[in-house]
Parts: sequence; structure tokens; C-alpha cells
Amino acid sequence: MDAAPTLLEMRNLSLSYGDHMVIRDISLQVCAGEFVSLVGPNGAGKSTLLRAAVGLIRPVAGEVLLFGRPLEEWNRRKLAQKLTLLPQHAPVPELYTVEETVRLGRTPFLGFWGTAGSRDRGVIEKTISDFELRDLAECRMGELSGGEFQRTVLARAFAQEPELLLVDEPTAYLDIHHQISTLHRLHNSAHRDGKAVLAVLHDLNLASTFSDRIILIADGRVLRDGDPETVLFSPEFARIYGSSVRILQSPDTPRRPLVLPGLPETDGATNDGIRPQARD
Amino acid sequence: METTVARTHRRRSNRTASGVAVALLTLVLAAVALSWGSVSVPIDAVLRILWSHISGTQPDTSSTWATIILQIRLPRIVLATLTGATLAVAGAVYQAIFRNPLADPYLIGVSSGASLGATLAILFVWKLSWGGMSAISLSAFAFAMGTTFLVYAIARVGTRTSTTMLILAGVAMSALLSAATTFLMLTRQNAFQTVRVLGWIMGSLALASWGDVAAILPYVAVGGVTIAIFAYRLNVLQLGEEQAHVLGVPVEFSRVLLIGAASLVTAAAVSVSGVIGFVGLVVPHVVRMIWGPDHRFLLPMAALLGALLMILADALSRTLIAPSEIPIGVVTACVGVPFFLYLLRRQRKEVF
Repeated sequence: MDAAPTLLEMRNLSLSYGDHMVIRDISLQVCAGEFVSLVGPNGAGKSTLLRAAVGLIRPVAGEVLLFGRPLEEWNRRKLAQKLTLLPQHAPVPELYTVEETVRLGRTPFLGFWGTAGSRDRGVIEKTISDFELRDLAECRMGELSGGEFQRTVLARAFAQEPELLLVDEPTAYLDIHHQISTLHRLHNSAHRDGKAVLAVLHDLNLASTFSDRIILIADGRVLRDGDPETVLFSPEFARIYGSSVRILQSPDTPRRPLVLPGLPETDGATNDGIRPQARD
Repeated sequence: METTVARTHRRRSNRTASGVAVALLTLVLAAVALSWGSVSVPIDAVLRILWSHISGTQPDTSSTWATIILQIRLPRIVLATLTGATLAVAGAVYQAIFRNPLADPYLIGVSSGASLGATLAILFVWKLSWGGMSAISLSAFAFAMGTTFLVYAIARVGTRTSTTMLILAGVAMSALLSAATTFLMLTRQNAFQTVRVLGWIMGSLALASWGDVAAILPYVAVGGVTIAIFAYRLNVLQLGEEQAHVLGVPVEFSRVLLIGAASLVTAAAVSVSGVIGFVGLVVPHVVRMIWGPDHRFLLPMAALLGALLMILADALSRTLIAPSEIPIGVVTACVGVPFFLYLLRRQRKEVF
């Protein structure tokens, strides 16, 4: 992993909305071929961090480096050819067809009037079949089910051919089947295609199962950054989530612990063995 | 896993064919509208007059007819074409930028500004003219542009402009300016002038002249070309600020430019035709529902359909109760609303 180039680096980054400091002095890195999850309670600043990584928010202090160069040195179109952010709610006008939506992902490569070259058409075709959208290509976005919609939006992000994918809650509102197939695609794009993925995930089991590394954030700070086992068994994790969850070693996936809901305290269950155990 | 195939295979309408068909229909309608009126001129005579005018020969028809066609009806129809196309295109731009199906060209105060300007010019009998524009048009244009700038300045925070702020500032400013217009009309207590103001506000092409056409053409051309060049960018902007940014589009710059261009063409149209409602709101929706939301096709199609609707509305407005005229805004509503509601009901689901 050391040899892989660092695609995203944040150095002592601080971010604020007006007077409200959301991120304080955060440093982190994401390398090519890596699937990294950002976890942490609501309001910890995870989405804000992703927005800052693409330049939607200007840092108060510190800097963002993309592909080794400071963010502000990048030409926006050039950067869009290497980087994308998939927000939690990606609005798409209902009348757009699936194909038109995927095609919009090619925008950074298209001519000013949206003219597509043969390579662009090839990528659009391939993305549509990779995401099993062939039969839906002419459907309008407003006609799709939640799973189909999310798949199309993800396909649009992939049509952009980013080397670095930032995704905010890609599994929200999806059933378990679609949650897993979405994460499989993202995981494959990192491990098979050498892209880097930084995903905000609320589901700690999915984060544990798919991540190479988990970054735990609370109150605008990185509390812990490491492999799933290290982070989930850390005292910092225990401090944030306390008795609301139980962490168990999984019998069939070593080093990827399971996260279960904590037991209700009123039914007489003892706390023995259900407290998250601090490892270091 | 998914129930898919049944809903698919939407028939792709042949867009080029539709475009040509609507363009031809517009031309036919324009020819018919030229022959209609208090003096009825047969279509073949209309065509001969037009041809002799183009070729520079002497027409073999009555010279009175030639004057009626060339000096009264033709500028009126050309102006109807320009304003109809302009309002429809500006409406499409506003709807895309504000990502709001209720947006129309008057959203951020152009109409109320123009109305106040025209009212002042009528009530205080301003005597000024510039570049072929009458005092009323000139004042309406100046006030419309002024209002747009003011609304924009209010909505701007630092280097960014929120579309919600723009809409709210626009609505508030419209309320203020409308109040001023009403106040002025009531205090002057001049029935003749009040009727003129109301007539202007409801929209009319009755006083159209070649001077009006020449006066607004430069603004419409500059704004129209700008919008045409940025047609694809509107597709991207419709995905919202965040996604447009991530797709490499300079959001703020595009927005300022497109809102500026749309406001410019709207102000130009309104200054000579008055506040003609409905066209700018509904024509883009009709095009979107029938041919889809790609602005590279939507904009030219909206221009054609807007022109068509306006020519038709103007022809009806001057013939239905001739020799009186119905305000053209009333006609556009009466012709367009039933058609729009029919489409809306048929569509049922997605409209935007």
C-alpha cells in the first residue's frame, strides 16, 4: 500500500460555516486502490469534509492536495476528469432518461455544446451495460424505483471515470441487496481498477466489511484512523458509541468485527462481555 | 430483481422532423395572420405583396393592401415572433437555473420594473426616445433592467448568489414596484391614462412598428446567441450547484451570464409588448413534456412554439372583437391554458 500514490491528502484542515467551526485541524490521506470509510455520529462533519475535498467549501486553515497538487491550482474541468463527489441526495430532473443522466457524467470530457467523441460514446455504452441499465436506458428518471435511481446516479459518477471517488451515504434508502451491490461496485473499483474511494457510511457493519481503513470522526476531529478491527475496538470508538453498540469478532471474517445494537439496560442483562473492549 | 423491461422502449420522437413541422406551421400561420384583419387580404395577394417587396418589383395588387401588409401587419407579426420566441426561451432558462417549474421570465421582477417604467412614462407624458424606442418602451426597458440588477445585488452574498435568495428578493421587489404602480395610477385620477396603463400591462402589439423591431433586435440577438451557446450548460446546471461544480462547470459565472442574458431579452420584449404572461411559463413545459428536457433541442423548439403561440394569440386579439382589441395576454391564457392542462393531465407523472 505504501507504493500507491496518495490521491487525496488533507493537511491540518479547518472548515467552518460562518462562525461555526465544523472541522478542526484534520489531516488524512487516501491512496490509490484503497476503500476508506468515514464514520462518526451525525453532525461530525463528514459530509463537510467531502465538500471541502472538491472545493465546494474554502478551508479556514490548512490545505487540500489532490493528486499531489493543491486544490486551488487545479483547473476545474481537468480536476473533474479525475475526481467526483456523489452527494447523498443527487437531484436529477425527472424527465431526463437514464441514458441522458449517465451521459451528463461525461460532461468534463465533452465539447462545449455537449458533443461526444467516439471514446465518450464508448464509455457511456460500457457504463450503461456494466450497471445493467440497458433495458432502462430510455426510461425517465421519475419512473425508476429507488434502487434503479441510485444505480443510475452511481453509473453517472462512473461515466466520469474518476480516479478518486467521494461518496456520501451511497446506501441510504436502499434495501440490503442494493446496499451490498453498490458497495461491491465501489470496492471493486478500488481493488480491481485501482481507484481510490472515500465513502461516508452510517452502517458500521458495511463499513467494517468493505473498508480497508476506517476513519472515525467526531466533533470535527479525527479520533482514530486504521483498519476496521483497530478502529472498532479502540477506546475512542467506545467513547463515542458507548453502550449503544456491541462489537463482536466475526467467526468467518477475521479482522472485520461485527457491530450489533447494545442490549436494553432494563431487561436485566449484565454488561459483561457486551461492552466494547478497549484494545490498546 | 427489478421489474424493468415493461416500462421501457420509449419511442424516440424524431426531433428534427418535429422541428421542421413546427417551423412550417409557424410560417403558414404567419401568412394566414397577415391576411386576417379588419381589411381582409386574400392569401395569394399577401404572398405576391411579400414577394414583390423582397424582389424589389412593383406589386400588382392594391397599394392600400401593400401598406396594410408591409407597414401594419408584418411588423406586428415579426414583433409577435420575436417576443413569443424570446419569452419562451427566457422562461426555459429561468426554469433550468432556478430548478423550479414555476419560474417564468418575470420571476425576478422584470415585469414589475417594466410596468412601473411604462406607467411613469404614460402618466407623466415623458417625451424621450432613443434608438427607435418610444418613451414608454425606453422607460420600461430601463426600469426592467434596473430592477434585475437591484434584485441581483440584494441576493448576492460575497461572491455567491443563492437562487432561493434571488426568487425571494424578486418576489419582494415585484410586490413593492406593483404597489408603486397602483399608487401612481390611483393618484393621477386620469381615466384615459389609467386605461392606457392597464392596456400596456396586459400586453398589446397594437402599436407595433418597424422601429420597435429594430430597437429590440440587437438585445434579443446578443442575449439569444449567448443563451444558445450555453444550451448544454443549462442541462448540467439543472443537476444543482453541487453536481454542476463536480462536473467541472463554473456555476456562479454561468448563472450570472445566463440570468443576465435571459433578463436582457425579456426586458427588451416586455418594453415593446407589455407584460404578456403565460408564454414564458408554459411553452417550455410543453416542449419538455413532448420532446424531453435537453436544452439543445428544448430552446430552439421553445422559440418556435412561443412564436407560433404569439402569432396566433395576436391574430385572435385583433380579429375576435374587431375593431376593438382583446389584450394579447388574455388571449395567450385562453388559448394556452386548456392545451397545457390537457397535457398536464395526460402526463400525470413527471413534468419537470
